[in-house]
Amino acid sequence: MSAIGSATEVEGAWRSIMAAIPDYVMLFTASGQMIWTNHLAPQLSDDYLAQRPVFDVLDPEHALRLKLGFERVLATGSTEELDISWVHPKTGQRHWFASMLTPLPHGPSPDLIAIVARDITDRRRLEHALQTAEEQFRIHFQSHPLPSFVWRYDNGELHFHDYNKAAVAFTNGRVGEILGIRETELFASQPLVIEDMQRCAQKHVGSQRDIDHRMATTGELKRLRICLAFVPPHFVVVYAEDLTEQHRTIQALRESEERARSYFEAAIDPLWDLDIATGRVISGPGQARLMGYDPDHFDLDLAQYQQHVHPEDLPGLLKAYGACLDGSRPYYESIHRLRTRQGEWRWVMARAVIARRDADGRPLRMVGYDRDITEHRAAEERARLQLCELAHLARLSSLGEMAAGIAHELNQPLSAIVNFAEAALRRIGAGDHSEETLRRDLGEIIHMGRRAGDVIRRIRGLVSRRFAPPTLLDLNDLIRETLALIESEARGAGVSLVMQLAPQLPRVSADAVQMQQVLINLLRNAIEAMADVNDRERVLTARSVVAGQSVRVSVADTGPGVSEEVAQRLFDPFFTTKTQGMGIGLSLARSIMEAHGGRIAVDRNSTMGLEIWFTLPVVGPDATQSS
Amino acid sequence: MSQEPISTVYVVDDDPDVCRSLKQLLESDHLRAETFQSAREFLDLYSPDLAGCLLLDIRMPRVSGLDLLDELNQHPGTRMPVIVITGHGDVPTAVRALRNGAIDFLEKPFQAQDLLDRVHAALASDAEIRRRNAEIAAIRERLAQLSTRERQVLDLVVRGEPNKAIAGSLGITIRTVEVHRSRVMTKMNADHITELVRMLLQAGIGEPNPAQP
Repeated sequence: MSAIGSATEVEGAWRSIMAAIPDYVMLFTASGQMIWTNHLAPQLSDDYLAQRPVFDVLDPEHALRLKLGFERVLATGSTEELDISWVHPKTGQRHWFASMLTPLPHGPSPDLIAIVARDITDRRRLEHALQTAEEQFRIHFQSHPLPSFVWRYDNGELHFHDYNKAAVAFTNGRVGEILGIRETELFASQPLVIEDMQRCAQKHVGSQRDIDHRMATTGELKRLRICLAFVPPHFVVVYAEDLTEQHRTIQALRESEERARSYFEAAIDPLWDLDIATGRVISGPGQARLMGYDPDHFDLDLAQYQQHVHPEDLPGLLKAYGACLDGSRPYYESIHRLRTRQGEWRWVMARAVIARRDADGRPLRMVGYDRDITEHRAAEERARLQLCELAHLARLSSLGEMAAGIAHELNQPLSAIVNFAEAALRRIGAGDHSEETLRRDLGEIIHMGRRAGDVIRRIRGLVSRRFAPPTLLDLNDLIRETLALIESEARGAGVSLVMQLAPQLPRVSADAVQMQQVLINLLRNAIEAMADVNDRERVLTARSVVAGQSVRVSVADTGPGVSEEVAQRLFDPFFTTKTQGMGIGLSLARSIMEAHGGRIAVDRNSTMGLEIWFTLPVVGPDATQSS
Repeated sequence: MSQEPISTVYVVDDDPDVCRSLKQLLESDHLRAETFQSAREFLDLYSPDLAGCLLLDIRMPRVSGLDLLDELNQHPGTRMPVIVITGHGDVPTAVRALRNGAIDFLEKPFQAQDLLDRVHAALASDAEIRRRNAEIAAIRERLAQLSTRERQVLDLVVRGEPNKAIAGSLGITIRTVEVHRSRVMTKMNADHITELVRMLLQAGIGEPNPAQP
């Protein structure tokens, strides 16, 4: 105590201590006048605060807060903390001070208030920056396009804590339902994700993982990319990227590539890709198999391919190829025979298009396939033979029905022969013959013999020939011949025959016997249809006309006609309006016409009766030469 | 050979070859033949005065053989005999033809002699009919020339009445009856009373009463 004996000494010691304190210690009167301070802020002049009340120095908000603080501490006698800010008059910088206001009772004199203030400007600035950053993060988080889920880490457990707008949309608005859920529950089926989240929470490391996940909220199965990030102090943010569509697209792309490859390799129709300039051909193994080669050692360019084509078919192929290249045909199509390595011939239908062109439109690549139609053609041939066989049987059957008429047709010339011969014999017997009459009678006999022969010839065609290649026909001739064949039948039924034939008909290519069969069928149907007609003439009209690129032949009767329903079913197999017959005549006629590339149809438009017509394509000049 | 040279065989057949051969055959037997290729052609020419017979093929379009028979039936007067030619085994048609007035039918193929025999028979029948018809016409003409009184006497004579009874029933003398009777015999060109009776029967007049000669 002796070292500090006087009050002055004590006060001096206090001042030194005060000066050493980094905080500002100030004494204010209740009206805000500073009466003492341990040290002034270095930026301030000595008299700045001394000359005016502190309330005038502060901006109005803080001045009011401080004033109220003064009143409170003086009234209560307790200390109070206040953060006070002011702008430095010289630098213009805002400073923050954490201030402790303490009332100092001072006897009867006006009360004093001690303020201990610490400059917290730097701290406040940091805090502000942090707050701004947080706000920015929030904004960022909320507006982040990826669904984001915030998990809070607490005592080794993660709980779902927050989410952004994208997450709402992602879960169809149901994300709120799982707030608070534990990671072990939500990702029960995804142990790796749980592991990732725990590691992220404990070691503050991010991660990324693609999972197939059934959503707890919507129940959808999704392909998700899960990214984890640690957000201090104890948050794990889960970003979920929906890869479902993308995955599907990639998958589809991959599949389509694979498919394309497998098409090429396993296609039933061997595919090929031709470089037009070089003649190089890339083809799948199918092409090799088609041609009897080992697919692993198969490399055939265009010229080599063409050497495998049947010489008869090559000109047609080259023509089609050229037509596709020069653009006169939109695609290449050729039916030709290919020789296999074993020397067999396979029928091939090749089709291709120009796959790439250069800038000037010149074709660069052609892509197409060779389809093996050998079996197909064999089946077609079998079907054709079957049709021929059926047609033959039907002819025999209708010949049976026509027998009476044919017998009459034969009887006519035969009885004429007998009559002429008898007449001649009588004249000789009576001695009133002459060379002239004998010549005449013999001539007549020869003529009648020929007539009988014609009848036989017409029938012979119908019975004997089963399979015949198509020949070039004048349908007018055929109509005349056929009418002759059924003439007596018509006569017997009281039907007159009328022919209206085009003066000149282009040729058609057809099986004459089958055509005649179709005609016979139509003619006999027509005769039968008129059996009950008594109030008008029974007339059967056979016509022929040229109709565009076809020859059209029709057979019309003056019978009662048929109803629309019957007309529609007329060509159905086993459909018949007759009491006798199987109903295969017209159906067979249709098969025959279609096999010849023709058509057959019924026309009910005429005023009475029925007209059935068929067409056959006219043979072009090319075909005429080849036949 | 035939008694009436104008007698003709009319052949109707739509087959011209057959027509021609039939004509040749008939002509080789000295028959007159005319051919027609349709029923219509024949009907256009037909009249009941034509003598001969018709050889008809029943199978023809438009107007069939049967239709032709129907039309011939509708013509007044006597009709020439018709022989129908039918197809082999076509019995129903043959029956219908016979019902429609054909006198005979031939089935194809037929023997030439068979045909000729039937044609001759038909022609004879036609000639006979025509002869009889002519006779009847003559008798009727003669009857028409008798006076009323002569006709009355004739009717009673053919009933077998004696002159005395006739005179009684007509209220005339027996002498007058004898004069009339003689004139009737002359006008009717009859030599005997039995001939007179035959004529009247033939003409379809009077009741046959052969009781008293």
